[in-house]
Amino acid sequence: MVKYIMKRLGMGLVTMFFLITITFFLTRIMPGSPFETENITPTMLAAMEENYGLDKPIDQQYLMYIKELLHGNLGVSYKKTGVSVNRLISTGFPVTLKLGLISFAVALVIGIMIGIWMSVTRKNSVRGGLLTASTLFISVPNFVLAIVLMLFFGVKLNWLPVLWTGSFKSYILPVTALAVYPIAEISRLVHSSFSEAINQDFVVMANSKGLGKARVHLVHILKNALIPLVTVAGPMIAFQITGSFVVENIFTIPGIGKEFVNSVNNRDYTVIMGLTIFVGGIIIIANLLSDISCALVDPRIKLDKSK
Amino acid sequence: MIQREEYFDPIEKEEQNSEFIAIERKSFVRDVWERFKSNRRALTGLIVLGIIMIITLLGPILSPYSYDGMGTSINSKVSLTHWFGTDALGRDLFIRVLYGIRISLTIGFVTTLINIVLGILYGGIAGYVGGKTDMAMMRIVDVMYAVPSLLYIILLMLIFGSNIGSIMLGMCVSGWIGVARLMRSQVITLKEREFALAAYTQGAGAGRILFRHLFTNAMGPIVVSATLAVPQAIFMEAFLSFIGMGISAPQASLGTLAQSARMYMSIYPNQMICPIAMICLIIFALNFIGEGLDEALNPKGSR
Repeated sequence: MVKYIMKRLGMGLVTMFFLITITFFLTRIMPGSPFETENITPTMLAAMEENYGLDKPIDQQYLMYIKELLHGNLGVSYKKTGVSVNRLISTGFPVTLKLGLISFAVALVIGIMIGIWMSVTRKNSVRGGLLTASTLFISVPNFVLAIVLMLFFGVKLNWLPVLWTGSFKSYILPVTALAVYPIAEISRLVHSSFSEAINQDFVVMANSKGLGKARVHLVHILKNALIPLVTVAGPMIAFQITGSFVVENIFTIPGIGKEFVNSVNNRDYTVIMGLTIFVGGIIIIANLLSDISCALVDPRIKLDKSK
Repeated sequence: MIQREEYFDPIEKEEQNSEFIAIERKSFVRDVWERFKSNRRALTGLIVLGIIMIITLLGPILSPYSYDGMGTSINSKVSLTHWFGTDALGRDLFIRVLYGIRISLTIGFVTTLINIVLGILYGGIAGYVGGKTDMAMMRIVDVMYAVPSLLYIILLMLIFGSNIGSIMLGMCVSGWIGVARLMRSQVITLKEREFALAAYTQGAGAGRILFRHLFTNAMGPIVVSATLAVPQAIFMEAFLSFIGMGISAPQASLGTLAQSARMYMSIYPNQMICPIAMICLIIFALNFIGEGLDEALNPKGSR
């Protein structure tokens, strides 16, 4: 087990290094100087480039960048003077994280409940309806959902605020937009593993011991049915982050996704680079944790993967 | 074993037919098609997609409006003359949506095709050669795959500009890895099977075994994952264009159309609803087709 974890950690480090390297070199070959504007003289341009160390050979720049990264410094913005990427992250990320965690928690609770409902219901029509609905909601693109929610509840009915104020009410629409896909995914997953677990021997045993229905369902079956959820937790977090790009953009939430989109649209190369590495790093770490906890919960997974 | 002489007598005519199989023989394709047809949702998806494709191909030829021709009626509502209304420059939205569908479908199918070919080659070689080569090849792929594809696309679009080519290139950077992994695991199990051994003993080369024998048997899961990759690619393009990082004007994909409708969406909701409804329709149809193919190609109960 220790060996497996070490191996995964090693892979994670290599991946991080790969991400940093390609981001650095791809950003460097992007056309145009970051300071190029209409009224700038060549001497000013050279002075600016010298100031930011852009006149040095590329390998030196690369080493410098890595060194700064190891000190936890993701660089400074070229477009907004004096704004560092670290500051953008420290202001934006808490908002994104809060939104992501709330919607993930909501998705987990509702998803598990719907999943159980799908498995224990005796009405085929209910099960079929829920399954079809979950298929549909998996296919709906997140920005479409966000727009529809906004048009309907924000504009048409005027129940909920369209713009971000940070109040409880303004959380409702973005959280819904972010939670629908995970709800659909989680409920399907819980449904399939729950229906599988329901026929196993330990359930028959628990039933024959005369345990109450609620206890059997919620303790004995659910415990086993939740293992697959650990597997999808990593990719789900990745989805939440990329989802936040669009949801933050639509609802004007000052999070990291909005910052990222803005930096791309402004061609603010260092910010793009810093945020790419940050976002990529988070996703890599999330997948890593998900993989390791999978192996801890269910050792069979490890054997499968090493094949 | 005792060898008796009568074992070597030629058999009678009737006896030759003793192993005749009396059920109707079906080709593989027909078998799959029949199973696919019986799935109502999948069939609906196929029909819807077919209709959309025909309209997108014929629409621009038959319509009186052109893709970028501006008219006098600006921001008009849905009417008989303009089925989806017009935009702020008086361009007919129906025609623009049709062109958007063309872009979406092109991106979806072309990237998927490239990814399948790359994935099959890479995964096939890794699985067939095995050993250290396989290990090294799959480790490289693991590293590339761990970086979210959205980041590749954004970086490449910044270098090569916001056009269809760079978006497709970005999707191909790591898009083939799923197929490669699938192909590899299939090849690893299939290459131990008797038919592969039989081909080998008859002198077939590695290439022939891999592509003629192993590939045809591994196709089922690959086709399914590829069908499901098409809507994902379409979604990715629409998503990027929608947040302003994708295809830029004057080309208009469905995402770009939705993006430009955003500012006035409470006043002219039709400009927003038409393109996003088409995106949903296409993605639903493709997902249903993928699901149907999955059931038809990998039946669990009937084997």
